[in-house]
Amino acid sequence: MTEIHYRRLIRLYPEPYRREYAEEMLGVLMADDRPGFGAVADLVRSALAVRVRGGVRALREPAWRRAAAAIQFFGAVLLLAVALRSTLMQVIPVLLHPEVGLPRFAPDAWFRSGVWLAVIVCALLRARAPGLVLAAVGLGAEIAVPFRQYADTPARILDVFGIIVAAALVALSFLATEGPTRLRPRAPRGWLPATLAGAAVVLDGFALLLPGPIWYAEVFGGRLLTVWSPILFGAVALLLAVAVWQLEPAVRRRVVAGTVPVLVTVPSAGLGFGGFREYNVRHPEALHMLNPVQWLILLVIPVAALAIAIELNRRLEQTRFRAGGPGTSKGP
Amino acid sequence: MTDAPMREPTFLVLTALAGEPQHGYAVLEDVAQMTEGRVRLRAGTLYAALDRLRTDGLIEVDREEVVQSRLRRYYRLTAAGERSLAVETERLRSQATIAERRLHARRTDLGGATA
Repeated sequence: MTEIHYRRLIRLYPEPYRREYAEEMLGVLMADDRPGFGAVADLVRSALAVRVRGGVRALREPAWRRAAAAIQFFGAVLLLAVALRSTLMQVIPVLLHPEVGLPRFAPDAWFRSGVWLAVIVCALLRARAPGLVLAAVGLGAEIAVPFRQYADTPARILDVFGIIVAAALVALSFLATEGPTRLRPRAPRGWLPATLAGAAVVLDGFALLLPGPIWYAEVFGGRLLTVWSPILFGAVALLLAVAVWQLEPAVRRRVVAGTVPVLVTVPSAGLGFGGFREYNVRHPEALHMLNPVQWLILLVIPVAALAIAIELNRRLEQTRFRAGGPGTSKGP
Repeated sequence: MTDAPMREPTFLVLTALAGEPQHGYAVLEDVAQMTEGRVRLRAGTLYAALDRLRTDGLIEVDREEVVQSRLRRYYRLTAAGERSLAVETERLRSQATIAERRLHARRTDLGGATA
């Protein structure tokens, strides 16, 4: 192994770590009489461990903790709204056409609604362990919905993959919660527009009751839409933007970084697997399931998007506050 | 620093630095010598441990020098590091004593048989 090889491997470490130790490490590596696979494996494993430790440490920063609180609340409110809208989807067609009989009881949608409501309470009370457990249950429920239909409609998983990623982010964000549980609930900044955004999602379900055409659109996994839908979903986007804007700048940047996996997943699952979905819709016998590589791609996209977004935010802050700003010196 | 037991590389690095300030490669050599070659740390593991110990305030930089146009940094134990190493040593000694006592009792019960 030459010094050039080692220098390349050392690039796997975070930049502040490299600045601090790269030259010393090179000296030790060049003096060590055990070059080869063992040295490479040790550097790769150690670089990964340093990055994970840095990430865990970063989550303890006040800005990340506040961002996690916002992600918990905003995310859980939207997931509750989506679950409530699903329950309305079961009820409203029967209200429109009573002759078809009683509405189909949808226990999973009610269950998800209850879980996300409980997660919101945990977020307000900063209850770390119950919040983490409940959000994990909610994530499991969101995953279970498409998997029940996976055998005959595998493309369904693509339709709701953004929701699953959002649920995973809400669950993960509870890891950054610290301190004792509050006795009095406290909402993060931007709670009102975020709640109104959730209300607009639910209202979109009610809009089916209003006179006017209803059509099925294959956007976001196939939705019943009304003429009100563009207005309401426009309002959702606007209200969420206002909610995020109301956060402190450092918290806002982290919330945006935390949202990137969802923003990236929705179009990538829709566009990247468009042919698969098209085939599945037109061939209900579903001979083609997602293969292992496709599963890997689906999982890697949000994880990579989150890692890149966090790193870009770190670099942005480092550049912006290099002249003596806090938290910009060597990490370890 | 928590009260959780130390991982072996951490314990060995602190032990190496308990004698005198040492640079990275000397720590590797010392650890290999102390363990009679059983533990041979590599650069990645060593510097991850040194970085963690610095962050926890258990070691600090003693001095720096440039040898063959390469930085060489010496690390030394801090007072907190000394306390932490003493606590861990006591924990290990206590466990070793218990193990020794039980082994002794076992041998006595078995009438001196060691198989």
